Amino acid sequence: MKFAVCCLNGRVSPLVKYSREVVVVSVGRRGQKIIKKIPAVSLKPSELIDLLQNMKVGLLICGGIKEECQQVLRSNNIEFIKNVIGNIDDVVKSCLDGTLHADVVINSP
Amino acid sequence: MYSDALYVKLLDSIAVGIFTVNNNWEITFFNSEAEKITGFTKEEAIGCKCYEIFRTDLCHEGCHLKRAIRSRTKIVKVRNIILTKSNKETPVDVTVSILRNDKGKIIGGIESFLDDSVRVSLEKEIYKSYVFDDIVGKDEKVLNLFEIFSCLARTDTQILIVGETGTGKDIFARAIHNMSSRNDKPFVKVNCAALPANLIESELFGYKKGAFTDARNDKPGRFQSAEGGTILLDEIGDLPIELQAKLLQVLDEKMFYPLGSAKPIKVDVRIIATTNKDLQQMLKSGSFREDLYYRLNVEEIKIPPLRERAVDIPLLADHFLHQYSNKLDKHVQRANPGAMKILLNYPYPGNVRELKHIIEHAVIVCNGDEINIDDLPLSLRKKVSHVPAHNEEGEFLDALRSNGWNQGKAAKALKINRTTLWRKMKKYGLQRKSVA
Repeated sequence: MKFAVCCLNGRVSPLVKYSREVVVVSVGRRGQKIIKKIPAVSLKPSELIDLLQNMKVGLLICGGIKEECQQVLRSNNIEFIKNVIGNIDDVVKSCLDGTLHADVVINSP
Repeated sequence: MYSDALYVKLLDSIAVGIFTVNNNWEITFFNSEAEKITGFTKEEAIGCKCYEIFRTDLCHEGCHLKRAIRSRTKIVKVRNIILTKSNKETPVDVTVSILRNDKGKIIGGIESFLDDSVRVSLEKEIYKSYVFDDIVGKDEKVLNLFEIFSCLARTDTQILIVGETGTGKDIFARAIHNMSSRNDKPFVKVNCAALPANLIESELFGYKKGAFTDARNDKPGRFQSAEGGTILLDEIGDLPIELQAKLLQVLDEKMFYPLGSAKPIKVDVRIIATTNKDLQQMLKSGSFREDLYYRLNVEEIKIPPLRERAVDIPLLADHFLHQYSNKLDKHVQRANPGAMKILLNYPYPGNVRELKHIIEHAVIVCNGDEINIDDLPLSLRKKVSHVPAHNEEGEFLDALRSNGWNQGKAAKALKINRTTLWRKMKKYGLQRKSVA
C-alpha cells in the first residue's frame, strides 16, 4: 500500500494547489515504513496527480479539494481522504493505524 | 457592562459570520453563522490556522486579513470565494479589521463575512444578458446590435461590418456564424490587407496544376475551404480592383473559376465583409466597385468605437481582467477606483483591442488582487494625466461617461437631481460630442 499526503509547513495542505511537498509513505514487506518527501512547489494539481500515478500511489490525503481536482483523481483511480486538518506525523500515523477518515481535525497546531 | 459569555451570545445571534485570529493566524473565535457558512464547527475551527478552514485562492497571495494588519486599515466589503467543508465553492462578502489589546498593541485580526451566493448568481444572470457569443457590452448601441445580429444570423444575407480598427468586427462576424445554421461548417477568415496582391487571387479561388510555373498540384482556394459555411473577407477595402469583379461573380452566380481552369466551381458560402475604410469615399475615387459595394452592403452594420460606448469600459475591463487572471493563474479580482478612473478617461484610438492589451499588461504586472494605477502602462498614465480627475468638472464627466451619457443614471450616481446635473453640464459645456 502506498499513500501520499499533501503538505504545507508540516501540516496537511488546505488545498492541493498549496502543497509545498508531498510525503509518500509505503510499507515494506517486513512492515517497515518508507517515507519519501517530494517537492511540489511549482507543480500544478494536474501535474502532481500525474506524478502520484507514476509513483503508483493509490490514496491521497488532503485538506480541501475542488470538484475538478476530485474528478481528475477519480479518473486516475486514486482514492482520496479529504478535509483532513492536522500535523503530518499524526496524520500518517492515523492512516497507518487504519483510523483516518475524511472530515477530521486530528489536532490543532 | 456585558459579561464575556453575553458577548459571545450576542455575536452568535448575528446573521453574519465572524471569526478572529491571533498573530499566528490561529482562529480564536468562530461564531454560529461562521459555522453555518463554512460547515465547520467551533470545536473544529478554533485553534486551526484560518487558511485551513476557509481555503480560498487568496489565502497565500492576497489575504485580506494580512493586508489589513500590514496596512493598519479596515478593508470593507471585498469579495472572496471560500471552500466549505463539503468542498463547495461559496462566494462571500468580507470585511476585515485589526484587533488591538487595551494597550493598543495588535493582537490579531477580525473578519466578518456574508454568504454572497444569491447576489453572485443574480449578477451572473444579468451578465449573461450583456454577452452575445464572445462579445460583451451593455451600451444601448451594442444591445441593439445583439438584436440585429440575432435576426441576421437566421438569414443568409451578405453583411458588411464597418468600424474603426480594434472594434472587434471579426469577432462580431464569427458570432453571426456561430449563431447561424452554418455553425457546424467552416468559418474561414481572409485578411485582404495581409495577402500580397499577386497571391490574393490564388488564395481566394485556388488554382489548377500548371496554371503557373510553381503550380505542381491543384490547390483549393479559401472559398472552397469555406464550402457550406461562412467566409469573412476582412479589410475588404484593400481588395485589388481587378479581383473585385471576380468576387462580384461569386456573389451573383455562386460560382468562380480557379486560376488556370476553364471549369467553374459552384460554392455555397455566406460572405461577411468588414472594413475600417470609408467605402463611400472609395466609390467616389473609383478604387472600389459600386456594384460590389451594393451587393455586399445588403446589411451594413456599424460597430461603435469604444469611446462612444464608455459605459462598456468597466464591463469589458472586468471581462478581460478575469480572462487574463485565469489564463496567467493570478488572483486579480478588480481594478481599484483610481485605475478605473484612468481607464474611463482614455479615448482608446485602438478601441477594444487596446483596452484588452492594457488589461493584459496590468494583470501581468499586478502583484495583489486589485489593479492599481501603477499597474497600468506608463504611456496610458501619462496620456490621461491632463484629464481633470479631482475637480467638479472631472467628476461630472466621469459620471456621464461611465453611465453612457444617460443623464438620469449619471445624476443618480452623483446623488444629485437631474436639473442640477443639467445646469452643471451647461456650465462646463459637457456634451457627448464635445468630449468624445
